Amino acid sequence: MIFQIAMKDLKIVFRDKKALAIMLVMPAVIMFILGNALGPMFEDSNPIERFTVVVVNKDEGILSQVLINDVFRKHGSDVLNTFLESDEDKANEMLKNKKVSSVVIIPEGFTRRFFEGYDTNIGVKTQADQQYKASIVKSLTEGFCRQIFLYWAAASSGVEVLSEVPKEERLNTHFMNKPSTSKEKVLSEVPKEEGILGEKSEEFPPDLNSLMFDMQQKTGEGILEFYEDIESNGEGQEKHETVSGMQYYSAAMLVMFILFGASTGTKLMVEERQSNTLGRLLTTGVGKVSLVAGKFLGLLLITFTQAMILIVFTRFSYGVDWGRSIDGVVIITVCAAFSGSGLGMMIGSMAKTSSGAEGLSQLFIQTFTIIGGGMMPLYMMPGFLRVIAKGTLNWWAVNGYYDLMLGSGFTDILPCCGVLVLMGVLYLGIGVARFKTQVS
Amino acid sequence: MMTFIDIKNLCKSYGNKKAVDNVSLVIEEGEVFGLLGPNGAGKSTLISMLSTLLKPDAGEITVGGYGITEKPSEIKKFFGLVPQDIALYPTLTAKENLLFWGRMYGLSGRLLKERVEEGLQLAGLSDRAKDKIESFSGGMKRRINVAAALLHHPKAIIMDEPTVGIDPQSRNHILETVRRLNREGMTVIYTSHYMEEVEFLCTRIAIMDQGRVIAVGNKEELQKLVGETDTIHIGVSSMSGKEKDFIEKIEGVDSVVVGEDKITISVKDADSILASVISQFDALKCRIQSINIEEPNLERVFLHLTGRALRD
Repeated sequence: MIFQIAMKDLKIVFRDKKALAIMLVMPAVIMFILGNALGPMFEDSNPIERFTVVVVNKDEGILSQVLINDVFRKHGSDVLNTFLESDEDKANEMLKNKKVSSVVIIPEGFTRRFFEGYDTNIGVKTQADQQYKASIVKSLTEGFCRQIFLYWAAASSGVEVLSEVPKEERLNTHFMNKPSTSKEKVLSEVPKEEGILGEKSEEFPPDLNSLMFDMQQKTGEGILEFYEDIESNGEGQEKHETVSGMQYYSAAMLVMFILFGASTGTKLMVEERQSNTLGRLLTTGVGKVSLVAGKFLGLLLITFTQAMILIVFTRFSYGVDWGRSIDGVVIITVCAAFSGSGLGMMIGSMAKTSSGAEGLSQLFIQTFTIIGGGMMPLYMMPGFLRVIAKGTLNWWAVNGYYDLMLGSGFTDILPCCGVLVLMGVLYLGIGVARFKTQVS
Repeated sequence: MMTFIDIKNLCKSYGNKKAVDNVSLVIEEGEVFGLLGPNGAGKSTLISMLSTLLKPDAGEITVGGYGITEKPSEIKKFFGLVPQDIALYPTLTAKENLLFWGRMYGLSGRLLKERVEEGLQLAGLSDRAKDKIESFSGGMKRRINVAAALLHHPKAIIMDEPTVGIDPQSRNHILETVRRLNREGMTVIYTSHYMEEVEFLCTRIAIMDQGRVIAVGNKEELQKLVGETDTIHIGVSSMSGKEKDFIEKIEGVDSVVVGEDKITISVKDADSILASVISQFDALKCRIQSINIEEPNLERVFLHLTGRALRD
C-alpha cells in the first residue's frame, strides 16, 4: 500500500502540466541562462576553499625559510593554512587520516644544492581526490624557485657589473659575456630582509629583465624537480581544478528545483488533507504509518525522478560534466531528494492550506538557495554567510555535486550524503510528528 | 433485527465546544438510519468517530460486536465511508480513482477489475471511465465518490451529506442507489440537513442539535411529537369578517386564526375537510387566492423541539 500511495502521487504530479513546467522546463531554462550569463565569473575566480598543508622542513638554509614564511604563509594564505612538523612519519599519518590535505617535504641541503646548481627536489604528497590541491602547492613552490633563481642570476650579474662598469655605462648589452661570479659571493649579496617573489625584479631596467627571462629559459628549468606521492583511494581519478559556470549552476539549480519538486508534492498532500481524502484513506485499512511512509516515498520518487531527468538532460543538451562517478551522482541525488522530501513533509505538516504550503515552501526554497550558494558561489560571500550556509541542505548537496564534478569518487561525498540524510531525518521527524496529529 | 451499532454516552469536544454531547444510539442491521440536523449539529463528528477517524473523549461504540477502541481495524472492514467532500483525485480518471481506492481496500487482480467495473456501472458512468474526474460535473463526482466506498462490499455504508450541491438527476441517482443497496441488505447511515431526503430514505431518524440527540424514532413517531393535525393556509383578497365563525362550525376543524390576508386552519384531516372550507368561502363571496396544506413533517418537529428552523 505504501508503494501504491507513492506511485499514485508520482502519477498525479507528472500528469500535471503546470507542475512539470515548474519542475523540469523552468530549471532547464534557468540553468542555461545562469550558466551562460554568469559563467565568466568562474573563469576569473578560484572557488577553492582554504586547505591545510603540513611542511616537513629538513633544510636549514634560507630558501626553505622563505618558502614557508613568505610563500606559503604570506602569499599563499588565501588558500593555504600552513604549519610545520619535524617528523615525516607523523606528517604522513596526518595525511593518511585526512587531517591535512597535503604534505610538503623539503629535503636536507635544499638551499645549498639549489645555489650550487645541483638538482634538488621538493616532495608534495596528497590524497588521490585532492590532487588539485597538490598542484596548487606545486605551483606556488615552483613559482618561488623560478623567482629566486632569477633573483640570484640578476644579483650575481648586477654585483659584477656594478663593480666593474662606470655608472654611465651600466645599461648595456654585455652581461651575457661576463664571466660567472662565484656562488658564495652571490649568496652573500642576497638581501635577506626583503621579499623575494616578483617585486624586486621589476626594479631592474627593462633590458635586464629580458636578460633574466632569457637566463631562466636557458638554465632555470630542470634544477628543481618535484616528486608527487599520491595516497590512493582506489579510484585513481583525474581531477579538475575548478568547475564551469554551467556546471555550478546546473548543480545549484538542480538542488533548488528538487525543493520545488518536493513543494509540488507537499501542496498535493495538503490539498488531500483539506478535502478529507487522507482521512478517507485511513478508513480503508491503511494505517497512519503506511500513509505517512507512502506520502514520503511519493515525495522521494517525485524529486529523485525529476533530478535524474534534469541531470541526463543537462548532460546531453548542455554538455554538463557531472563527473565520472555515476554511482556518486545517483547517491548524492538520492540523499538530496531524501532531505528535500523530509523538508516537504515538514512544510506540509506546518501549513494549514495549500496556498499556505506554497508560501511556506517559497520561503524555505528561496532562503536556502540564496544562503546555500545557489545564486552566487559561496566563496564570493562574506565569511559569516559561509558558516550559516552549512545549515542548509543546498550547501551540502551542491558541494557533493561539486566534488563529483572535480573528479571525486562516491566515497568522498559520503560526508555530504551523511549530513543530507541527517537533515532529512530531522525534517521528516518533525513532519511525521505533526502530520500524524493533523490527519486525525 | 440485530443490533449492528451500539453507541453509549459518546462525547467529543474541540476545546470548550462540545461537538458530541453524551449521545446514545442503537442502529439495527439492515436499516437506513438517518442523522438529521442543521450544520454544526455534530453529525460529522459522530460519523468520524464511528468510522474510527476520531477517538471519543468518553463513551463507547460497538460495531458488530467489536469495540471501536479495541479493534479499529476490524471495524474498518465493516464500513465504506462517503465523506462530505469529494475525496477523489481530480487529475486521475474515474477508473484510475476506483482502481486506487480498490487497492487501498486490499483488492487486487481480477477481483479488483470486476469491482471497478461494478462501481462504474453503479455510478452510471461506465462510458466515462477514461475521463478525468476534473472534467465531471459535481453530481458525477459524487456518484464516483459513492462508488469508491462500495468497492470492498462493506456491510454498512456511512454517507455524510452525499448530495450537497448537485443536480436533481444525480441526487435521484444517489437516493435510488441507497435504496437499492438497502434492499440488498446493506445497513446505511445517512446524514443530511435535507429533511426531504431523510424522510424519503430512512427507516429511523435521529434528530441532532448542538451535539445532542434530541429525538429518535421512525417518521411517524417523530411526527407525533408535534401532534397529528394538518394545517391549511388560505390566502384571500378580501374578507367579510364572518369567515372565522363559519369555518369554526365545520366538523373536524380544531382552530382558526385570521390574519390580514390569510386564514390558518388546523384540522384533523385536511383532505376530508377542504371541500367544505372552500364552499364556505364561496358562500361568503370571498375570493380565494391560494391554498397550502401542511402536513406534520420533520421540519415542524425540529421547529417544535428547538424553536428554530432546520436550515437556520
